[in-house]
Amino acid sequence: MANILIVEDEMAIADLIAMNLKLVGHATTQIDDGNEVMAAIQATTPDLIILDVMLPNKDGFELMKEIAPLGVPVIFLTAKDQLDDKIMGLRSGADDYIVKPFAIIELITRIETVLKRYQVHSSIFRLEQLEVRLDEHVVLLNDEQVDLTTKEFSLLTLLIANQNLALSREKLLSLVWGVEFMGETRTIDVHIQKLRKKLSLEDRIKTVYKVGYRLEVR
Amino acid sequence: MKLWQKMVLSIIIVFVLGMDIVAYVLINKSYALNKTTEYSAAQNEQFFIKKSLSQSIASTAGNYTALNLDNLKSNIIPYADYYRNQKVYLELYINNEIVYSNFNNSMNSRPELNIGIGEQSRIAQDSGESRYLFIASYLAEPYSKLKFVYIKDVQGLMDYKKQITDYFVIISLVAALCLSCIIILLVWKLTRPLRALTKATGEIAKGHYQQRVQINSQDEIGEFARNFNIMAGSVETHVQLLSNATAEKQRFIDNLAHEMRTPITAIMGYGEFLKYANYSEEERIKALDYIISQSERMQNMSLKLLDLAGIRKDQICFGNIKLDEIVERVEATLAHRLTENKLEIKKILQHTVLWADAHLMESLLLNLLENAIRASSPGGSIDVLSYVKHEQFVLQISDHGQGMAEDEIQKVREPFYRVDKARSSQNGGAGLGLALCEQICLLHQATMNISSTLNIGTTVEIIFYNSMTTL
Ligand SMILES: Nc1ncnc2c1ncn2[C@@H]1O[C@H](COP(=O)(O)OP(=O)(O)O)[C@@H](O)[C@H]1O
Repeated sequence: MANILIVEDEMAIADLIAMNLKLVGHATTQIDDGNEVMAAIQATTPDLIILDVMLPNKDGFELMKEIAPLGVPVIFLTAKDQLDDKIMGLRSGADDYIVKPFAIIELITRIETVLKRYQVHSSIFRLEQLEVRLDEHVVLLNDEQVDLTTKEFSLLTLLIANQNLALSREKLLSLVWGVEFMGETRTIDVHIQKLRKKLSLEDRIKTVYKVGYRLEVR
Repeated sequence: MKLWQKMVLSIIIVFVLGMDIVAYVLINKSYALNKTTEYSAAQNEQFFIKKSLSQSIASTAGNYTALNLDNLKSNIIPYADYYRNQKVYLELYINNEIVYSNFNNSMNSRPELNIGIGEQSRIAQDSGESRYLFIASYLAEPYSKLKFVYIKDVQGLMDYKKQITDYFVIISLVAALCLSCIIILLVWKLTRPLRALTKATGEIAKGHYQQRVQINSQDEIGEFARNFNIMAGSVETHVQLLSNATAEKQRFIDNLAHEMRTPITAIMGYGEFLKYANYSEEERIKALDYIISQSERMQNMSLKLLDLAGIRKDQICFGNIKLDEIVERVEATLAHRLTENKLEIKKILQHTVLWADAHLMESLLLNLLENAIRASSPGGSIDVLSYVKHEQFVLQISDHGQGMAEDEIQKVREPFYRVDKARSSQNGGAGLGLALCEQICLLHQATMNISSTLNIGTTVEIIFYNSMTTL
C-alpha cells in the first residue's frame, strides 16, 4: 500500500483515479490547485505523485522543478496534443507519463512499475490465512508453504496488484505467457482453477461474467 | 543583360556614333575648303609665273632671232630654282616637246598635258609618297606654242587630314572612356531605386510581408515606390488577417479537442470501473453520476457548438420581435433552475419591440441568464432591463452574484474560457456561452459590454445600433 497524491483540477478525473487506486489498496490525497501542491507534499509525504500538466495557477512543469529535489516519484498526466510536453516532462525528471484518455489497468500498471523501482510497494500480501511474500516468491497458507509453479505465481502477483479489478483472460495471458500465446485462454482457466484450489481462494478469485477474473479483497 | 548595362551601352554607342559622324563631316568639309583655297592659290601662282615667264621671254626675244630651246631654258630656270624651295616644280613644252623640267618623279601618264590652245587643265595625281597638283596651260600670243606646267606638292593637305583624323580618333576614344565612367555612375545611381524595389519584392515573395522600400525621390520611381509600399501594406494586412483567422480557428479546434478530453476520459474511466471493479454501492452511484454529468457536459458542448456553427448570415431571419414574450419563454425554460436556487427575475422592460432574429435573441437571453444563475447565490435576484438610450435599444442583464476579477472580464468571451474550470464544468458550462452571445451580437450589429466586480455582481449590457424599429 502506497500513499499517493493526485494533482488534477478536473474533479471527475481526480475522483476516477482515487477510486481506482483505493480499489487496489492505495491511500490517496487530492489537490486541484498548483499553488497548494508543495504544502500537500509536506503534509502527506506521498510515495508517488500523479501530476496533471495543465493546472490552474502553476503548471505541472513548473511544479516539477520544485518537486524534483525531493526525490518523490512523479507520473505526469498529459493530453495527446501535448506530446512535446511529454518529452519535456520526462526530461524535467518525471518517472513516467500517461496520456488522457487512459485505461485504468494501464494507469495501475505504471504506478506499480514506478513504485517497484522506488521499492515502496509492499512485499507482503496477507488475506485471511494466506500470506504471499512477493519478493521471495514464497506463499504460505496457514503458515505452511505452498508450492506454486512460476506461471501460477506470476498470475497470483498480477491478481494481487490489480486486486478488486477484473482482468480479462487476454490481458492475463499476454502478461503472464506473452503475446505468442494469444487465443489460448483455456490455459488461464486451468491455472486459475489450480490457484483457487491450492490456496483455497475459491470465494476470492471470482469469475466475472464475460469479463475475466478478479481477486476480491473487500 | 541588366537594365543599367543596356542603358550605359546604348548611350555610349549613340554618343560615339554621333561624334564620329559629326567629326567625319567636319573633317571632310574642312579638307575640301582647304583644298579649294590651296588649289586656287596654286592656280593664281601658275598664272602669275606664266605671265612673268612670258614677259621675260619677250624682253629677251630681241637677242635671239628665233626661239630655241636654250634661251627658253635660261628664261625658266630662275623661276624653277626659286620655286623649288616651295615644293613647286615647273615644266615647259614647245609643240609637245619638252624644253625644261625639274620634276623628277616618273608618272604613269600625264593627262593634264592633253589640252588644246587656250585651254587649261588642273589634275591632282599621286606619285610615290606624295600627291601633286598639275596645272597646265599655253602661254599667251605670240608664244602660244609654249605649254607651261606648274606642279605643286600638295601632300601637306593630305597629311593634315590624316593628322586631324588620327587626333580625332584618340580624342573620341578618351571621351568615350570618360563618358562611360560618368554614365555608369549616373545610371547606377538612377537605377538604385529599381534595385531597392527588386530587393523588396524578392523579400516579400519570400514571405517577409513587413518589407518596405525606402525611396523618397519625387520622380516616377518614387511614385512607384510609394504605390508599391501601399500595396505591400495592404498585402500584409490581408495576410495577417488570414493567418489570424486561421490561427483562431486552429485555437478553437485545439481547445475543443482539449475540452472534450476530460468528459471522454471520465466517461470511459467510470465505464471501465463499473465493468471491472469490485465496487461498493456508494462507488457505483458516484461513477454513474459522473457518467451522466460528463455526458451532459458533452451534450451541452455539442449543442452550443451547433448553435455557434449554425448562426450564419444567410440563415437568420430578422423581424419585429417582442422582447417581453421572449423573456417569458426563457424564464419558463429556466423555471426549474430558478426555483431550485430560489432566484427571482425582475423585469423592467420599457421598450419591447426590436428588429432581430427571435431564435437568436432567445439563445442570447438564455445564455446570459444561465450565467447569471450560476453566479448568483440562493435567494438573490436577477434584473432584466430594456430601454432606449440615445435612440439605441439597450438590453441589460444584471446579477448580484460572485462577479469576476478585472483581468477575467477580458477573457470570458473567448471560446472555452471559464473562470473557475472545476466549478463551472460541474455546472455543465463549456465556456462557449459568451462566445455564442458575441456572435449573435455581431450579426445584430450590437455590442456587448461586460462590467463586473468581484463578489458584488455582473452587468451585461447589449447595445443594438441598428435594431430600432420605425413602428
Ligand atoms: N454573470 C456572471 N458572473 C460571473 N461570472 C460569469 C458570468 N458570466 C460568465 N461568467 C464567467 O465567464 C465564464 C465563461 O462564460 P461562458 O462563455 O458563458 O461559458 P459557460 O457556457 O461555461 O457559462 C464562465 O465560466 C464564468 O466563470
